[in-house]
Amino acid sequence: MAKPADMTRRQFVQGAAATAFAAPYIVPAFAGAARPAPSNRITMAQIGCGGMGRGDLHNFLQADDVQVLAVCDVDTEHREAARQAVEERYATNTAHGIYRGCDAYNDFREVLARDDIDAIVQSVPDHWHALIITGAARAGKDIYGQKPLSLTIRQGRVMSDAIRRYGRVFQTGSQQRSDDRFRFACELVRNGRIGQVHTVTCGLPTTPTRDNPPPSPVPEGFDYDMWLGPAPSAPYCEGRTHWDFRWILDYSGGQVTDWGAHHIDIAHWGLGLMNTGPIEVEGVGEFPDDGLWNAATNYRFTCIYETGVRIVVTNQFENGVKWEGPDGWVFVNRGRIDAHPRSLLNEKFGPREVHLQRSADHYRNFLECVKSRREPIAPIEQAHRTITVAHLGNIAMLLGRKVRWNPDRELFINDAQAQRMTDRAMREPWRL
Amino acid sequence: MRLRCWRTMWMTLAVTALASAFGAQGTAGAADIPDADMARIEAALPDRPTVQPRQERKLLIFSACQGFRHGSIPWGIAAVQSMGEKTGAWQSVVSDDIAMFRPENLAQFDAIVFNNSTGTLFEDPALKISLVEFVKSGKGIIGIHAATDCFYDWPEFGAMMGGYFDGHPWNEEVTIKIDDPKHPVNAAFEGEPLVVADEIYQFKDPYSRDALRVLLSLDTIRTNMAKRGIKRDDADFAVSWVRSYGAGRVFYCSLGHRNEIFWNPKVLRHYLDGIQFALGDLEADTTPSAQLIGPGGDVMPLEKALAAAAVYEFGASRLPLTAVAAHVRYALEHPAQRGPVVQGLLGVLESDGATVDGKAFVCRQLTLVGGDESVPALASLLPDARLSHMARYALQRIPREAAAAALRNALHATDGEVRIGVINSIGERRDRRAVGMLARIARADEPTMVATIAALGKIGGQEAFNLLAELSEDARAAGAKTAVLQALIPFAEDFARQRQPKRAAPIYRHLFAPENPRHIRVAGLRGLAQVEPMEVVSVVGGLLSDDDPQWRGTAARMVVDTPGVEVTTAFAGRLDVLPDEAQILMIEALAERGDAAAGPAVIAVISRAETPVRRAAVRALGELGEASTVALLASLAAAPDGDTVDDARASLDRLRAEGVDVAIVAVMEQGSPGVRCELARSLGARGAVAQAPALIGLAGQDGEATVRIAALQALGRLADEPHLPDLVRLLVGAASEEERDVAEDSLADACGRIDDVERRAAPVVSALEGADVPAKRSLLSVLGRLGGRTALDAVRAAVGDPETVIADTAVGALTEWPDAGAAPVLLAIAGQSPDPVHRESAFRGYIRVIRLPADRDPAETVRMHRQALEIAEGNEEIRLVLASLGDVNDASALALVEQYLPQRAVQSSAAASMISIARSLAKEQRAEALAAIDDVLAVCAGDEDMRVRAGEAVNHIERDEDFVTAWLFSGPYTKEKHDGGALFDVAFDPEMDGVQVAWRQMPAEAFSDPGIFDLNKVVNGSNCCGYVMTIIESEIEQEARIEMGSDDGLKAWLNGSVVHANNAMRGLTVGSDRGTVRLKPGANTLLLKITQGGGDWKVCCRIRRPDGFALEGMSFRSPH
Repeated sequence: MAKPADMTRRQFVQGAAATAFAAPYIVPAFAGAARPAPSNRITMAQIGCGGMGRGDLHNFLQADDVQVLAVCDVDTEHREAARQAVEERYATNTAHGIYRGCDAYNDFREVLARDDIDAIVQSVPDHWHALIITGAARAGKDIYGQKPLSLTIRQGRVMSDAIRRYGRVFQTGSQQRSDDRFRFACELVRNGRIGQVHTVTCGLPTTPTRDNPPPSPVPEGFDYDMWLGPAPSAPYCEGRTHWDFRWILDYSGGQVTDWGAHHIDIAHWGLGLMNTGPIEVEGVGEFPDDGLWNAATNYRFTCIYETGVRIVVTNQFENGVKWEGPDGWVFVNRGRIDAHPRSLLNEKFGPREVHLQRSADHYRNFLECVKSRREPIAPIEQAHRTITVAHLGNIAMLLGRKVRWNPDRELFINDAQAQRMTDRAMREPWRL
Repeated sequence: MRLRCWRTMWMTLAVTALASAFGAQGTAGAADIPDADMARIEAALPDRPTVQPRQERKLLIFSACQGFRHGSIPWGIAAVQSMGEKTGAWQSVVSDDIAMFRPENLAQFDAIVFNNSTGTLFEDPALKISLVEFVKSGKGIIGIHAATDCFYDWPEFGAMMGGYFDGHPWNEEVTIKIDDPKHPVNAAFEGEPLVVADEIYQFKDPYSRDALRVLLSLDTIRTNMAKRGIKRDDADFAVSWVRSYGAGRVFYCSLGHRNEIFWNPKVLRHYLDGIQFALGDLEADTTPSAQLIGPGGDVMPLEKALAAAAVYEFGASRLPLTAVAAHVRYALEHPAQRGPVVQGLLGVLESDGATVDGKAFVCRQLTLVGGDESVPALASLLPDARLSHMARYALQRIPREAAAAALRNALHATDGEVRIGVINSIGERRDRRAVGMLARIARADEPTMVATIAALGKIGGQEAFNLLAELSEDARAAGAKTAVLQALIPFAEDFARQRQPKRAAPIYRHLFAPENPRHIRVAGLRGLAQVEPMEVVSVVGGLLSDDDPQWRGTAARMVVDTPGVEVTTAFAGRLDVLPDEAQILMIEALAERGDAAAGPAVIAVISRAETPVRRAAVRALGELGEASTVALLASLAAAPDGDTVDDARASLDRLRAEGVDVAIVAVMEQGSPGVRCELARSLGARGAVAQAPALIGLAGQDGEATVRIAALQALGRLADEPHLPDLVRLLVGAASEEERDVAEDSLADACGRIDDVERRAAPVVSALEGADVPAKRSLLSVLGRLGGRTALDAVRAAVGDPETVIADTAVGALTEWPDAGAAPVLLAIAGQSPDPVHRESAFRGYIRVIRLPADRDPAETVRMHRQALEIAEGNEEIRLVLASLGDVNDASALALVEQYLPQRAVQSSAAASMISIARSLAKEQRAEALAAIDDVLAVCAGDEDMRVRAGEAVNHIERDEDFVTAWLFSGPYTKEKHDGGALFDVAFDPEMDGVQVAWRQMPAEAFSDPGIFDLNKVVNGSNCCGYVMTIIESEIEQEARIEMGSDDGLKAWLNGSVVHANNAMRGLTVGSDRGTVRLKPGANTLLLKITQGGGDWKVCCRIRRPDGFALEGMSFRSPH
């Protein structure tokens, strides 16, 4: 039977299953059952197959209700390794131990153009996030997107609006939200166990520095111009791309955004201030005088919110988040949780207290939400508000003075200079 | 007595002469400080003056206090006085006599040091005038530390000194930054920050950088800013400064609270320079910091920086660029400087000799500082493919019409991708004046048309809308139909924002048209829901049972967030026309929506639907229910075999509406026993303290035992202090043993919530009198769970009760006592009770309670154990005590246990305990700990298990020993496309036989305890690997355990064979990787390979005997 030209794979499968109400609202786990039929799997593509992408891909490959159809990277070696990982994983499901069903792309636009892909995983450097996420939203895809969400404040706003407009499901890769310890710490704070919080401190790592490597030939198989994409033109050199991009302000915001995306997010979650922002930001940052990496190495900035609470973000504090109130404090990081008084650690919460959403697995939470269309545990709007704080900190430190911010309108108050720093022109032909 | 060789005789004479002239007043002198400190000061003092004095200089050191007196005053005197003598820069007179400030006496001095003086030092206006005139006439004044804590009632003094003390948030190690590295008075620091421990001041007005040249200030990044008492919100905590005052000079430094400041060489040199400045010998600029032109600090001058930036090429040093950026930043804050900076930047853009990279850098700067004057130069770059982006980088952000015009004009001067960029920037600027020009180029080619459509969506407004409509036919033909639909969305959003639903709705309906892609339709429907909410109700209802699961989920979301109360009822009203699965979706979404208006419709579902739908509805009532819903939920929760019991319970507990608790009580009073039970339980779960009286009534009077028990349990969850007497009464009068047990638990829980230990026991104790035997036993058990002195006294008294069961209960309560307070009572029972059962359980109870956390000296804990040993009956009890002593970290515990080591019957307990004590004791008393282990081994030589334990303990005690610190290093090694993990199995030169390898010695600063080698301190790298090598000399052939840790992966070779491989990505844990190897006699070569992904890069390694003891006859050396 010839398939009508305009009928997509999805419509075709749906037509076949139309007689029964196939999937309930909350899709049950596939406990003990065979792998879901292809029509019930979420089809995905991995965009960006470097450091974080490898990890993300590995996690989605473990999910029985996912079928990874494509991988995409501008580095041939990363791309081919990812394709191989997918095919080896799925080969174990086939009778003959061979699987050839994963396409590999250099250009993410070809991935987005495929209408048989439901969702993408975005694990590329920060300067690419906005283009890939808005592109995916405009192509009707759901997205698991790595943190930090954005390169600029405006990019974050555009991304969040696009997700909302098109009713897309977006999970931010800030997986601390799916960690019991962080959730419990936030619930302690949210339920007033330490009283009205006056100060939160986010301890982040120090940003490293390095020398000025000379320009060098672009490695074979690496589409460097595409890697640069919307970023200013610059010759290839060692230490610029792959993992190290995050220390360069053209592509990222240093540790202030890299870890700020995690801990500021948790600070907001505990305070219940996930959908607003500070009204004043001030701080000091040391930006290297020389060398390729130019993000703030040492830094401390303070954000004051309308409620009066202060969030301090600094590299001169143990990695983690500490909330302080009149009745005690709570500290949490990936290794430990502590509180004063210690008895808080045994607290239970009543049925009418705040119970934050529970997620035992950040990837699973995303997949369930793709099916239910609910908002995942790390929604894009909150990620945008989180990373805005980090951007505000970088702007205040770069300007070397206090900035005032209107979190409702997302505009600086009487500060044309700071306002100029909320966005950057993209290199042609790229646009939001 | 300290007479130094360089101390001149005439000085002493001068002081004596002055003292006799003015009458000596309690002058604290340098003579008051210990010899050792004097020696430290002398050693730290500069040898010579920074500049030779122009003439003989004379300094008055004045340290009087009318308030707090700093202990460091004598150290300050000693340092300043000796400094003048040693360097020959001045001679000092030390006096606290205010008569010194008379004009005729001041005249002989060149400057005065206020050395930690405090308070209003004198009131006489003549002396004040004299001091000010002295300084204004061209003399100097120096302030040390508390010199700003003086004369608060004399504003001119504050102005002269430069500010008033306003608290000292810090007294700890801080980092002080050098504000002005090139200032002559800062020469001591050579530009390096000063890390120092001292009390650090905060200043208030008249402190201001408008008046002072600030030299040092607190580095707020590296200082604890969480201290109490920080008041300044500008993070400006100056530490030292200079200023001019009249023709005179002021130098102030707030360091000098702690004695040791006065033997800190850098601080002393700073004081020397400051004093020489105040004396008039050292020339130094006093222009106030706020008036300095340029960014200050160590920044390259603008012209020089611009010249270097103009020829910048990627890969070269960025120093000139960051210097230019610093000037730009400065200009942003100082408008007067903007002109020269912008002109300098434009000069580079217009220069023929400038590089592309240099011009690109300049464009970036103009994004911040550029204005109208910058536009022509930037505009001229727009057609240049190499620089067009950077020109837009600036022009897109310059908020001036000229910049917009330049972009519009460039539409004609550019083509291809460059023009696409220009169109994109016009879109980002939302330049409505560009629409006409965009119309003329839009159809040039497909990319231009798509770019134009996107720009129109951003620009907005009627004209853009019209053009979009015009273009839509061509766009459809060009396959860009979706681009048009997407561009339409912002127009609709704008209309919605302007409250013009009639204009927004048609656009959204157009987007929702069936032929459009699903996500565009979603956008249309979601938009429509915002402007015409009622219009979407039936569509959304239908979509809840759509074949496409994504539509079903999307519809559920829309039930949650479509605005309007009437929408709630409309959605709820559709419940009965939906299929079951869609009903569940709708109900759950309505619950999430949380509008109680949906309640009645959801309740109606319960009576007619099948189980899954009923359950969803009952669950939803937790969010939607009101006080009136209580009866329904209670009956569902109490329904025997009901299919919604758990859902109804959870909903009852969750109800948030007004008056629910009161409604629960009202329903409870009339309900069936089952309903009464459920509602009592729910009051407990809800923590409805205000309803405790109703529960008390129920617990005492209800005819049903199950209800009474439920009420008692609920009281256990919520009863407060005022309810305790009632709870006690309920316990005493309990109708059955079961009820009493419940009452006992509830009473203990309720009492336990009271913070004050004594208060919580009082109502229980007062009920003991007159209670019958069973009640008394219960009350004693409760007291045993509460602890504290009041409870203890009551329980102790009960031990002597003639009623055996009471006495037994009392002893039982004591053995479970929650604090150590019961120890003496238990000891007495264990030693003296005639009842052997009481003796035994009291003995065990005693050992238990003395192990509880308590604020007491370990020696006291040992004494308590000794008392137990004195009364122990049998070896079992001795062993119990010895085991407990193993956890006491004190030498006297070791001594006590050791007495039992020779006794065979308890030997192994004693040995185990000694090993345990030795482990914890070793940190403070290493030799004693190791000796104790030797003692154990001497006695237990044949006991294999004990040998292993002893070995582990020694290994633990010596865990910081035998680390290899004699490494040679080679690296870093990298390979294209290989990250750290991938390099693990790539063999580089050190792994190859017979290849010459470049080894280098490790500097000492790369090591930290215990033998951790930080490779990043030698070379920097990511995604690389490195090798370290050492030679192990062993006198004999022997087995050895090698214990290593690394960040990240680690591979080890001994004498050329791989002995360990772990390709890990991790932080370093000392001793995480272990293996056993065989050392040959003589030299053994150990080679380690350490991979590096990013971040830390470290390794450590030590070698021990396999049983944990130190290897005999082994040493390390690095080969040459």
